[in-house]
Amino acid sequence: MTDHLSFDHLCDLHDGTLDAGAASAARQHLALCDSCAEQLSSLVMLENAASALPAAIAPPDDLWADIRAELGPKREVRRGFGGGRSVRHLAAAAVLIAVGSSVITVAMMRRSPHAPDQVAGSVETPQAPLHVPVALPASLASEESGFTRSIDVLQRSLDERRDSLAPSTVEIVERSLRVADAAIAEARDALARDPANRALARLFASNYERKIDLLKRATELAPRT
Amino acid sequence: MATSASHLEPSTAVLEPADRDKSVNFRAVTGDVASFEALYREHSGRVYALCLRLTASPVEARELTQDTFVRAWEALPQFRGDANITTWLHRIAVNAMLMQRRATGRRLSRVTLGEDERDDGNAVPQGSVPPADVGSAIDLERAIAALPPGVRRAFVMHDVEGYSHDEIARMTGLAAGTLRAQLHRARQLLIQRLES
Repeated sequence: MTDHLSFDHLCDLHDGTLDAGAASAARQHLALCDSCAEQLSSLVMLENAASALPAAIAPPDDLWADIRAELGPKREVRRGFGGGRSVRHLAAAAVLIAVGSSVITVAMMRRSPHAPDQVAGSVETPQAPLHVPVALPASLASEESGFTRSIDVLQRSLDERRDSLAPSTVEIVERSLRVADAAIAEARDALARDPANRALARLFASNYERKIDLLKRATELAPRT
Repeated sequence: MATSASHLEPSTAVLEPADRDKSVNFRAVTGDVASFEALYREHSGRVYALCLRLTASPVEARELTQDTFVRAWEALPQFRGDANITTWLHRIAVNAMLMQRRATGRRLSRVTLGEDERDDGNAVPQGSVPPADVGSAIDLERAIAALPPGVRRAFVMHDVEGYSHDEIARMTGLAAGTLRAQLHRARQLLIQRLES
């Protein structure tokens, strides 16, 4: 027998991609040719061995940790409360308030002719911690009272909706509010030391308004439960 | 804190939590990392096996598996559940591998021949075992690893993973004739090596 089946022909026969006539002719040849039949047998054995290989191989144990790190908080935030972009902006806004407020406060205190020798909350004044409330002049205290009433209302509304927010969202909102509170406290402390500084008064009010805005936006993120 | 389900329902709500697999997918689509980890635990073995056989390199397989699941995480909102999740993950893995290969190929094209031209039956991909070891060990896994990349991909997807010619063509973009030639070449090389 001289006209052996080519390897491609045998593969096509094995894969069932030959047309009926060609397949029939090939089978007739195989019945008479040991060499080609042996080759086909090798193909079958190879395929059996390949299909018997384990379908799964355990990946390295620490691979999930690497994958998890790449997922990052973005999706958790976005999906957790249906508004990741808003919450990222919210958190960013809080940071801007804190950073901006600190810089502006220090700058205003330095510019003010009424400024004391040392700046509240700065490195030079560790004896004036931010968390110690200082009494404000009556006009400013009244303005602050109005802000705190608005904040209380919004805070209650947010508290009522907290259960509809993902824990990660609550964490971001609370962190943002803490940042906002720190900015208010810093401006308040500076203003208490320099009550005639009108720029500081505007900053003080602005910080409260931003906290109110944060609360409003956080409340909008949370659907009613 | 309890999480309300109402606002977490994906817009692609074709998925029906009729079985455990789909239930996990459903929650993973919503961005639940814990559910995505469950999906990873269930499917990572098959994905890693595919990646390891496609790349013939544990280091590359690890990177490819990682890339596959990160891409899957990003693409999950578009996964509508009408495809088998394993096939979907495999398709992502193959796409990721092809993109890596293309990038590598562009870098190497100035100094080396193309993949098919290097298929001389003796080429050994980086990270795989020498042919001598393959022949003496009669170890199919190692013999597969020693195949040139193009023919190895065809063999792994067709004879190991069981995908049809059409499915492989869709995944890889290979022409039917090219795929057929690569598959036949892989079988020929493996038989030669395992019988030597």
